This record gives sequence, structure tokens and C-alpha cells, in this order.
Amino acid sequence: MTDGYTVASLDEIEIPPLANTARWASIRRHFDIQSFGVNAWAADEAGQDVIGEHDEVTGGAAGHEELYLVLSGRATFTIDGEIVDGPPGTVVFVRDPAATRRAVAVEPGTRVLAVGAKRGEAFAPSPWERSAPSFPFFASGDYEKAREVLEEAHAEFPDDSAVLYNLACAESRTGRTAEALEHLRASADQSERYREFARTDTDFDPIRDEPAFAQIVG
Amino acid sequence: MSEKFLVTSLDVLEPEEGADGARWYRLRRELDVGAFGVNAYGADAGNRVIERHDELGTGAGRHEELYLVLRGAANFELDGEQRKVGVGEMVFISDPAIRRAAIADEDGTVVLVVGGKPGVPYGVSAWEAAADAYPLWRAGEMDEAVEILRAVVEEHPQAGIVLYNLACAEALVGEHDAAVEHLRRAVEAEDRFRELARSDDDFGAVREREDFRELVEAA
Repeated sequence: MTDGYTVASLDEIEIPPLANTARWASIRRHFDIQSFGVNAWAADEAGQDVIGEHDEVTGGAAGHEELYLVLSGRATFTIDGEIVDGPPGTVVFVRDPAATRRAVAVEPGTRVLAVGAKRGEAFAPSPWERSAPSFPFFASGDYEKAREVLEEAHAEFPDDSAVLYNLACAESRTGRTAEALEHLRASADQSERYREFARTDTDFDPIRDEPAFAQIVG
Repeated sequence: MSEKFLVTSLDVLEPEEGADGARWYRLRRELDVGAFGVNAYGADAGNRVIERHDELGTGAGRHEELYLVLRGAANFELDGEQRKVGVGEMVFISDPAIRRAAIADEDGTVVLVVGGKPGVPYGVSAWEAAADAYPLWRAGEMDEAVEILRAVVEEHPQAGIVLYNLACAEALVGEHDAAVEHLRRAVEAEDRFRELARSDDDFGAVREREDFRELVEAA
């Protein structure tokens, strides 16, 4: 190995999944790629989301055009209501950032590569990646470590609503009730979707009976 | 199909002949991807799947490049170091100076390449734009090939490899003054074209011209 290039496999860089989510290989972050976003997602079971439903204009998205390539298994894509069958080798290019997209694994072991960047602009990592370093710690139940990582992200990006929300989750899990409520409130004030997420997110079970929590989630 | 998205497949998309005979799946052009470069290359065992190149040439984009082996396996050479890369394995090359190449280790090997230049919006590299001319060239439709190469040179006036190939094409179609002028610009961009031109049969028609001889023989 020399400086200037790096070799890795998708299997070795995958992080442990959160409950019911696809396994995630954060390729861009692993290699520190600076000119496009690239990730791979793998579903172990048929019926599981391999690409969660999203568009590229709301909630921390960066307006990317996205290219999906089915690496293994088989996925069914739904793009603004249109269905696309995706055996291995299928390439789906979603040009319109406003289009809602999702892919569900049809077979166990379905893996999809996603590449994205914004046309006409120099690349910058998507805001949603800022919370990403904490996800393995949530998955393994090491909430204290997740909180530390999110504190750092919060210090760097104090207005990032996703970081605020995830930090609130970790604080709730580690018994920091006042901080959790403060950060959840800040996140929900910025984006209604976090208010909605919080209603059913088990990370908030430790603070669910607090009067302030009920007031925030409405 | 709506215009919001496009679908293709490595099993459907007809590959073009790429460098060294590799099967070139021109995904970026097929889908009109505008934010990053993306192509796949295929070859059978023992054949070159990734052309030997760096990203420093005046026709290259100084891209950082991510290679992902999709099918088969490939023996990569990275600045002289050998590395076998199998399905699901990736090589990321951040340094544009690194010389890279790969030979297919199995029949049906396919390698995906994604590239872009940090800090600037993506633009199609000169070498990729010029590649549209080569199938026409091979089919003998030289005037159309010259037209495409001239358009690329217009947009990328320093792209040595495109200037050089335009000069070759012009020499072949009898536009000798233009051929020598474009070869001069190619040599100014990258000196290696001086030596290449000395033994390139495409320049047969201008080889005896004094300005050509001065150009290729100058130290």
C-alpha cells in the first residue's frame, strides 16, 4: 500500500446495521472521496428496504442526481410511483432531485450501489452524512460513545437538525433528560418530520413521560 | 419512461470498443449524467480491462477515481505494484499522478469506474468527448470524425491527445496545413507527441513537409 491509493472491500467497510435497516458501506467516508457521494446498501432479507424512501430536496438532502446500480440479488425500485424491476447489472439514474425513490429487496442478499452529486456544482458531502459516525454505536448499544461523536458533530454544525435529533436520542438513552429535551425541541422546531419521528422512536422511551416531551411532540 | 429517471443495464447496453479492445459501457453518456463521470469496462481473461493511464494528461480530468469490480476479477497495477481485485472490492485513487492499469483475470470481468475532480463542478473530460469520433474514424467516415474532434478542441484547446488525433485525421483527409498546426499545438501541450508523430503512419502525407520535420525533430 502506498499513499495515493487505497484498496478495500464492501464487506469489510460495512457498519453494523440499525434495527430493520439495510447494511451500509459508507464508501465515500471510508476513502474520503471529495468529488462525489458513493454508498452501498445491502438487505439480508427479501421485503426489506435496500434504499429507504427519500427524495433529494428535503431533509438534509443535497439536490443530487443519483445513479443506482444493482450489485447482487434483485431489487424493485419505485420512482414517483413508477415500478422498475432490478436484476443485477440494472442501472437506474434518477436525474430529477424532486423524484421520490425507494428500492425494496426482492431476494435475500440484495446489494445496491448509490452514486450522487449535484450537477453544475463542486461536490460537498451531504449533511445527512454528518450523523453517520454515530450509527455503529447506536447499533451496538454504546450510546455514550454515540453521544460523544454527535457532540463533536453538533459543535461543528450547530444548526444541523439531523445531528440535533440524533444527539437527543443518545442523550435520552444515557439519562441526560434536560439535554435530550432541549436538543429534540431545537430539531423539531427546524423540521416537522423530527417531531413525527420522535413520537414512535424507542430511543425516547426513557423520557417519554416527561411533560416537556409531550409538549414537543404534540 | 418519464424524464425524471432513466434505466439501463450492463446486460442491455451495447458496449463500444474502448482502449486496448476493452468493452466500454458508456454509462455517463447513455444516461447523460452531469455530476460525475461513470463508465464500466469489460474484458475476458488476459485482456486489458483498464487502459494504462494517469489523470495528469492534458486530455484527462485530474479526477480522483473509484474502481469497483462488478464481475470476475482484475489484476490492477498501481504505480508498478500488483494487486488482484475481486468482486465487491474497490480501488480508490486520490492521486492523479498514479499510473493505473488492469488486466482481466477471468472471462466476463466488468469494472465500474466513477470519477470527479474535487473542488470544481463536474465537466466531461476531453478524452471522453473525443471518443465519439473514433467509431466514425474506424468506419472510414473521416470528415465526421474531424468535425467532432474540432468541436472538442474548441472546448478543450489544451487537450494534447485530442489535438494529436485531430492532426492525424486532418493529415488523412488531405488538410495538411491544419494537420501540422494541430500537431504543433499537441506538442506544445505534451512533448511526448513529438516522438509519437515520428513513427505514426497517419502522418505519411505530411512527412516530407519541412515544417513537419522541424516539428518532430526539434529537441
